[in-house]
Amino acid sequence: MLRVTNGRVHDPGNAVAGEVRDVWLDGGKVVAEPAAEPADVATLDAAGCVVFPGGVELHSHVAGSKVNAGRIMCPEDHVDHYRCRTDVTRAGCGHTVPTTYLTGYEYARLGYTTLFEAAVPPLTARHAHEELRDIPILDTGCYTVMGNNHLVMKVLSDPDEERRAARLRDLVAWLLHATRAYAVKIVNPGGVESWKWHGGPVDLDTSVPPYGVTPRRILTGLAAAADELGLPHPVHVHLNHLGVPGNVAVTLASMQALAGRRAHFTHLQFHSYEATRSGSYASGAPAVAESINQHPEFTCDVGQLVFGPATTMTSDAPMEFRLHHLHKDKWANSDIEMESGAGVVPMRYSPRQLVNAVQWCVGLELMLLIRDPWRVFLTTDHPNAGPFVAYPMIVRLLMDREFRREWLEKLNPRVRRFTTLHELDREYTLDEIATVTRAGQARVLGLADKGHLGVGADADVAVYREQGDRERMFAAPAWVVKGGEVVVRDGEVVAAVDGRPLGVDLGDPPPLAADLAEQFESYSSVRLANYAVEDAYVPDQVLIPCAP
Amino acid sequence: MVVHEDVVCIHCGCLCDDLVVEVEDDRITKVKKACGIGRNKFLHAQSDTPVPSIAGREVGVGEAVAEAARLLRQARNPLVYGLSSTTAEAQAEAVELAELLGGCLDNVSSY
Amino acid sequence: MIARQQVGLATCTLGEVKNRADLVIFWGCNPRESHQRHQARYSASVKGQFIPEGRKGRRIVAIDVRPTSTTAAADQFIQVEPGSTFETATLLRALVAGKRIGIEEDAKVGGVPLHVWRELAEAIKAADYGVILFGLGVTHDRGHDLNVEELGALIREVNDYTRFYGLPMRGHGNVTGSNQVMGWQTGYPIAVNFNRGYPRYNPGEFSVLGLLAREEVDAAIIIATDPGAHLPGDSVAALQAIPTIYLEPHVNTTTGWATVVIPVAPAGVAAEGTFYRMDNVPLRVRKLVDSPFPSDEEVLRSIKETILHA
Ligand SMILES: [Zn+2]
Repeated sequence: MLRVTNGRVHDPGNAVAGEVRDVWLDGGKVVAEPAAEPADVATLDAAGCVVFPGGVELHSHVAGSKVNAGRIMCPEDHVDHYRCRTDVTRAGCGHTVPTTYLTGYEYARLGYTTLFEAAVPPLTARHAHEELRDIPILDTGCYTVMGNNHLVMKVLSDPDEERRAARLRDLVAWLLHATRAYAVKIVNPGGVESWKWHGGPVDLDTSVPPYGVTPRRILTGLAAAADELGLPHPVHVHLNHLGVPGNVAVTLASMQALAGRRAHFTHLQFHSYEATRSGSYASGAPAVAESINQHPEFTCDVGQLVFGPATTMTSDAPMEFRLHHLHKDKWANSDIEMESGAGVVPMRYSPRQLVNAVQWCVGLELMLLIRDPWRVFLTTDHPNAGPFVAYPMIVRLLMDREFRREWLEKLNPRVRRFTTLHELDREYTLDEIATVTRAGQARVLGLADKGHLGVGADADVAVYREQGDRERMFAAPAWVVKGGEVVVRDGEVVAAVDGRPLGVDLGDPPPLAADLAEQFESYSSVRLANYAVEDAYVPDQVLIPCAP
Repeated sequence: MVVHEDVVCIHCGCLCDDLVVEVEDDRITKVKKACGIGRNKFLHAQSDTPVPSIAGREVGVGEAVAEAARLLRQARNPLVYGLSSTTAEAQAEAVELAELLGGCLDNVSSY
Repeated sequence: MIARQQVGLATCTLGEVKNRADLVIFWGCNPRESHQRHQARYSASVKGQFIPEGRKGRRIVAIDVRPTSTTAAADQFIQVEPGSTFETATLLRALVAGKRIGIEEDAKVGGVPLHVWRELAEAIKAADYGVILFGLGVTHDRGHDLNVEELGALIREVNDYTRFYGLPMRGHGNVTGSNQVMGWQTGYPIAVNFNRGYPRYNPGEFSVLGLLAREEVDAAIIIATDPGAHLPGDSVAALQAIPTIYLEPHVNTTTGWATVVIPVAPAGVAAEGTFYRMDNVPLRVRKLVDSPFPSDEEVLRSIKETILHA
């Protein structure tokens, strides 16, 4: 048994806002304070500290084919960032694209204990699970990309609305089960397939070859399927036109299309740009934030830009090609048959670059303008907008408006004409930070045992020493506890326990419909029998119940 | 007899995954759909097995493993090399071994 | 590998070749010998979703230094001089970009008349979905990685006009997997050194040929690879001069001289696990029969544990 004592507990899920109280952990769970002092108890004296639930990352790119393509493509990312093997840890290297072991240690060193890889094509799902298995300490899961999947689009091309919905629901369940994934991901719906046909960017009502379905139908169809299956996490949406000035229009239209349904919009920073008269970037954050404010059924994460090196990697192959053209740097691409695509382009964001400065402001504007911290989460879309190791600095930017002002001074001065960040005075409280970094994520992921410290929660706890400099405070936790074991002490990993794979309990989903199976056997390069990920890749997967 | 369908061929980088392999008394007796080389690979997979040995002297696997560990541990800069026709799971073990030994690690695609 | 780090590679899975590629260029490879079902399953005669006619729906070009069964079965065989890969790829880049090139129309490049290259450049731009499948004839031609880099640049630039990709015809079993696993665990796909406790990368310095040539390693463990079949003679001689441990399911020349021979269950026959296809698609290979011997994975783990607990 472990007792965390004397700390100020911030547990927004249970309305505990900085009260000094003890947290008791036993058998991997938070337990009630025992009636009598137990014989065998270890104590962490958290006097002068805040006690948070373990951090929950709901959108990051840490495992699988495109992440590894980024690692292999960018040795220059690794040379100055390395860790030696120790008695408890494996060696590793990498800054924006760290190796799997280092990824686990670095997340744990910030107080995170749960992690989701945000984009896995079914055909390479085994690869993602192999890497997730090699990420220590954290519980992990992944999302399956479906927004350009041929079977999905074929089903959606059925004019019969009722049959279409029923068949799509079964197909989504089958795909999630086959990939042992946690949620439905949509990336640039229809846009990746369009690119394979040399088509331009798609709008909500563009008919996409070869099935003639529109992004609108893909979005609404998959959102409905996720709802009907009662998946713990709603559709996780990367919208069309990522990174393009003026994309606020398609963002707002997509929100309108999904109104009334649960949906999570990811890295909204990249989707909240007005176009200036010359076609350059201006902030569209106020309008997008207002839309989120008005729709309690929506959540979002921000994808905050971090100045310095980044590695963009998405299933949005056409977007990566556009980036490659802008920067003329390396470009890796992989079209994935019948499903998806992927692109990787290394980047460096600079505060003097007006575009990057606007993007940086847009992310913070969204965080400050969306009023409900339960519906906006801190991410950097790692490593697209920057590496996750920048989280402590971003927390300080949210909590400290003076610090924000200092930073604004360093930006290209023209940024004030195109953004509103300099007008925003809001400062996040510790409770709000606890919400946007763990409690809110856990709730929208449907992880009832994560993101809070009530009795029955997983014994995942992060203890930070109170300091005025919030960046330093959150950069090196005094202790991090995972599953009841102390894994980090004074910012260093002291035990590397294994994390657990997380999945959803879909029961025994119906087999793939005969016409879809025939289509698969005809046009896939693997046999249907060899497509589904075997149990060996997700040993003892924890299955979260659905609520249809 | 057991018939295995949709078996993945291990010969080349194509990984053809539609092979039919028949097994009788724990011996592979028939391989269908594979190319000539792939079929031979399966049909001969259980023959020409070496014996565990140290400097040409036949030993048990356990003794060979112990000697392997001893030789690697006493080396100043050991090399872990190859990894072409084995599983990713074995390759991962090889990486950790190289790391533990503080040695070098390479595969067949560096030249 | 190194080329991919310089410029990246635009690629696709083999199912995309099957379903979409209307132009397939086999460059410096002979799949009809080395990857015998490649053309029937993925790249030539196979019927794809958007190439329903199969072989008739594709234009097949073979570029090689000598005639092979692959070049014989192609629609067009461009026989080039050895050592000309870089030069011809550069020429194609210029032609695709419509740049003026300072050579006479009747001149030859790589031993091939300019008009042939001009027609190929036009065919590349006119294709809906083109693919270059390249093999040892490119990677082991004079220039090595620079050739792949130049092909990569060509492929990238053609994407301004149409979809166009490159795929290396990777060889034995799970070579691709070894690059992937090293990538996610060490950050680098080849040539890693742990002397300082963390992974350092330097092809040449830390790759097997250089290490053996400079006699920098004093023991070796060789897994699932026959050095006799892969390495040049002087490298094999260097291995024979140091203690070697060899994990291998079959008798071969190396089992004759390795210091310690540990027989293993052959992967995909008597041991299961993951193999990566040449296009990085992972598949599960199976255990079909029992072996009296442990798998590579089990032997390596035992060695590791013996060392850890020594
Ligand atoms: Zn993302």
